[in-house]
Amino acid sequence: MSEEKVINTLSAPDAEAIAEKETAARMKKALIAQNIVKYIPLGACAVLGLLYVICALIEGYDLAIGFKVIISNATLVALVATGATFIFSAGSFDLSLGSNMLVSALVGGLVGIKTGSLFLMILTCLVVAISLSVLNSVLASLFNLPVFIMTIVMMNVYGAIATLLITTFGTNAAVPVPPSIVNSLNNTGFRIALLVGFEVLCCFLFYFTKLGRKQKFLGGNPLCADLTGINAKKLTILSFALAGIGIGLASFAMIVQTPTLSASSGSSVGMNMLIALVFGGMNMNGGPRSKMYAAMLGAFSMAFLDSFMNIYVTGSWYLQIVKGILFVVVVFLFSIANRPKMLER
Amino acid sequence: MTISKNKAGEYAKRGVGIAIIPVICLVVMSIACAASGTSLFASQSSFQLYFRGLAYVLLLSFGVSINMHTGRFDFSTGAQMLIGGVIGAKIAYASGLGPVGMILIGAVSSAIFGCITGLLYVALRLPPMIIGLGMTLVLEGVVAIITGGLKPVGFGTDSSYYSFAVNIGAVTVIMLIALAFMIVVFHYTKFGYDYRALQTGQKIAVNTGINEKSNAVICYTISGMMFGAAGALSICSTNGVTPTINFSTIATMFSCFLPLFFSGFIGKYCNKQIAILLGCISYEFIQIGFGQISFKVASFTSDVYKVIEAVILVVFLIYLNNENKIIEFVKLKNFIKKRKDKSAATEEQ
Repeated sequence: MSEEKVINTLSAPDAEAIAEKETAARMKKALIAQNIVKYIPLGACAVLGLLYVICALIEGYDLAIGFKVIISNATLVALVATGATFIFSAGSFDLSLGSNMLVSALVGGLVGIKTGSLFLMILTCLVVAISLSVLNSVLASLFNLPVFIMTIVMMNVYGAIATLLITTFGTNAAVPVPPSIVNSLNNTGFRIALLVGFEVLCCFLFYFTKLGRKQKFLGGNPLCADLTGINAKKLTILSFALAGIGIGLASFAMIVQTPTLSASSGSSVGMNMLIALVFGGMNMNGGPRSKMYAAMLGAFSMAFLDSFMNIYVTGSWYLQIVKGILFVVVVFLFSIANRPKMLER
Repeated sequence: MTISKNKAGEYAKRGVGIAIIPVICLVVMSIACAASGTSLFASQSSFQLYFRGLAYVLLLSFGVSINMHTGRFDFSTGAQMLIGGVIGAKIAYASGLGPVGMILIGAVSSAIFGCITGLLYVALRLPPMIIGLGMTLVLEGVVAIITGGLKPVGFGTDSSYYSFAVNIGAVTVIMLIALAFMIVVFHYTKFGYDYRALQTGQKIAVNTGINEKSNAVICYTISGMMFGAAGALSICSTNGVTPTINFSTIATMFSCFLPLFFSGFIGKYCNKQIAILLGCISYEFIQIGFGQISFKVASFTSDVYKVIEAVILVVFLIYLNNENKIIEFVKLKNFIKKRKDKSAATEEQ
């Protein structure tokens, strides 16, 4: 006899109780599954880290140097990606962050060369990065321009501006910032302090202020957010400005790390930022399931993956193929429960 | 009499709508060139460069328009172009198939990669953005492997590939084939009918029984074919290519935005595919004009005109996306002016 028939033969209160129990069991299962999914990025980061440590030890690599490289690589990506979380959680999108970082670093570097002041250099990096980021959002939100188009247009424009800056003010296709200005900060301690400081600030804004709640609401349901009085345009501009702070800090960290700036400096940051967000468990559509810590987690996962693959494989393109496949697979796994019936556009 | 007058008026309006952007581009760039001490078509080679650029942009714009007009934004456009072009160049050069063979191989191989992208999109049901970015990473990596670690791909001393790219007759034939193909497929077949139904109302079209999945896969395949042909033509015209990775191919799409948005305006008055052709013709006037100016003014580099091109694009997009508001604003201004004039006239009386 099927379960349905058994329920039909029971009295109404009994059937209700069984149905309630079943619903509770289903909800419990869903909650467990949700918790497992929640901790997958953390688990993946730990596994990749462990894998790297084991393989590095077997192959006789110096772990101290290895971890310095990992922190150095992860810092740039994590700073940009953490700032970008504000943009993505509000349901927006920007691919020009890497080019923005290069332009900010170049302008900051040129100010540093001219004045010799570290303070003015970091201030310029921040001001330029925030301005360019806000410009993107103003064009997209105030003039209703399509975000996908704008992001590619701005990527091209910033790339062209960077080349113009290098050819106009640089020597031998590069802008060399005197290392003496930034040498005192070129250490792992500074990178960790910068990253932790920015992460704490962003987590505070995202989890403990109205701003974070509004952003998640806007990303989850723009129509409802609008009806409850949230000013979407203002909030989007603010999100891009906050992302600009991350880009500004990353551009400064890049100058500290490699004071000779060329057109290819930080070229992979724009790509790695997106992959890091996905690896960290960030929902690319934004909304209530957005996580601020995803950026840092993803950046370290990727830095571990890079270092692990570099032990055995020569050629960054193999790593790129692996990242591309993982990128699609991870998004697919995270979206299994919420797959739409019709094709997404 | 009134009906024929109305018809004549409508035809005139259409004619103006169709011709206004190409004419403005031609006139403005001719003036800009004259001001810089040169002319838009200074020599025979200017015409060759014009047609070469036009064919490339037209193929690229056709490819991008297929997915973009249905709300899908494919970031792997540049990567598909690159892989098609590189495979075409490698096989054609090694086997002596020549430029025509190269374009055909490029188109077929990119169509296969386009089909794979479409199948992934349909099977995984993820946003096109995610599939596009994932495929970009993979295809750029594959190109790096094919080229033995991002080594340049070229044709040595064989100049037939470049000669083909600047042969006005040959590229005109390519453009005509592409145009005829797009018009037939998207306006005179069941696929095209379904495509337009899905374009205007996805839910209703699916509910009426249109197979969206097969339609999407065919769209990706056709656009891949166009990208492959464009990529091969681009490699012919530059006599080789040095592949790059790290999402660098995404920026390739930039060159088709302005023609596509021009076509968005022109398309109100004529067939969509013809509008794309006219958009490309207009865009190439700007390109060839900038090229001529850069010969005369050393500081006018390709980076400078990339920035100017972006400014033109943004201004045009602002107009297209806020057309009603701008018209309202202009009309309101006229209304206020008329009222002021009227009150001034009353005061005088």
